[in-house]
Amino acid sequence: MRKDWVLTQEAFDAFLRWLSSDRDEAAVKYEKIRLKLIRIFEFKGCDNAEILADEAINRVTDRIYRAADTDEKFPIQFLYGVAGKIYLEYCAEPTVFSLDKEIGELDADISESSSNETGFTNCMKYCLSDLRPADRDLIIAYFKVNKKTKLAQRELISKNRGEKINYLRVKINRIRKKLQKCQKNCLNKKIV
Amino acid sequence: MMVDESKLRQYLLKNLSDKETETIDAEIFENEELESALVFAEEDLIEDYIDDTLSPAERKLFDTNFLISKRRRENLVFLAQLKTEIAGIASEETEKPLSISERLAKIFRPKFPQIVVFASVAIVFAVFAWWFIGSGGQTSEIAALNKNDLSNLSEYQNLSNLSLKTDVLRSNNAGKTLQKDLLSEKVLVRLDLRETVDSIPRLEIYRNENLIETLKDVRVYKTPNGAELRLLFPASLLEKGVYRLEFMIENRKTGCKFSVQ
Repeated sequence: MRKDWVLTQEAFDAFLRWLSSDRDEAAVKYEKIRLKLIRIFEFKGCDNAEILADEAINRVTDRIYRAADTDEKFPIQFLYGVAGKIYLEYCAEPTVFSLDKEIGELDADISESSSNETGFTNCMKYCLSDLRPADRDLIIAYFKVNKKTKLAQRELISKNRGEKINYLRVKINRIRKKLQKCQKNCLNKKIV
Repeated sequence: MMVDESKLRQYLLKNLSDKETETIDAEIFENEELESALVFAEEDLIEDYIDDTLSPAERKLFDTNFLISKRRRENLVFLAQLKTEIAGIASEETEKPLSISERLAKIFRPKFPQIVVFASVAIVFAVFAWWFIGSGGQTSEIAALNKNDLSNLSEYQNLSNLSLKTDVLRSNNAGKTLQKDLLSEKVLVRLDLRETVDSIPRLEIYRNENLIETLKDVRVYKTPNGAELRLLFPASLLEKGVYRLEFMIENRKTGCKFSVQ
């Protein structure tokens, strides 16, 4: 991509037309593609996955916009290719894609809070007690299993609840995210 | 196409060929189930690492290729802490701990029975004194202020005040604004609930999306329109920012926003 290039409304419109001639459908596709790119970069272990996803979209937009007056066609796989290239660039030099200093300082604050073991434990107790009783009981049952037999034990939990194992896992994932959010808030604000 | 679980683990550990990796990358775009499966595989890897059930080869890949993002490191620390806490709860359930007097009795009974009685009484007294002295300091300033009955509004007419209505919390609208420099020592916030409610079991106060206070059993005052919430804030705690009051009414999340500038 040219270094002085900035995303303009015109270029972005060209990108949306590339996704679909129907603008509403294109907008939905755009959101979906962006989220998928973010997930892919996260699965690859990249920090700043959102920045990388936006960079991939910007580069594809630039390429499509420049080719607007030609017959050149770009299949959707072109986007994967660009994303792959950005990932390789990221691996070579991750700091190029890093967020600004403020975010770095925020991270430092969080890790400082996290290193406070007493605060961490107190917050965990507080957040567990703050869950709905049914959610609290479920997450305790899910994680108190023996590490050698956990799969069988969790299958049994889902069977006893009349749920499929994947449904149980989605539920646990949601409770865990709620706990993790509570924990972050608690550590930052020193609630307990 | 559904990719098997062991392959997904290898994908996350970056232990697949370029071609296999590209196939899974492309599949993520098309297959919703694969994305969930990868989320689960990621969670399993982290838990297996904590439980020390990864093979030596996987453990090495985990350290070098997997634990490279801040998000994953945070998830690892969080899950380790959660499992430790839950293990503690589980062991408390299975081995009911001895009471303090039982423990003291176990230590001293053979030689000094009278010490057991004396020490137990002293400990109970000390714990009570600690609770009595400490409880005052633990009540937050906002909670303490709002224990008072705010029925008589004329008592508060000289304070800065803000009248709000419950709103859609997802809205980006930061609501009405208070000027920090012009606030009286205390600020009265009135929130029209637009319905009849007896009390609010739990109310959360956020500043710039960070939880700063949780109030329990918040009193509600009857009005001709239904009911309203009245909250007193010490001006010293109202730093500049966007505030959100959030609570549940009949299993529905509601609240309001306001800002201090």
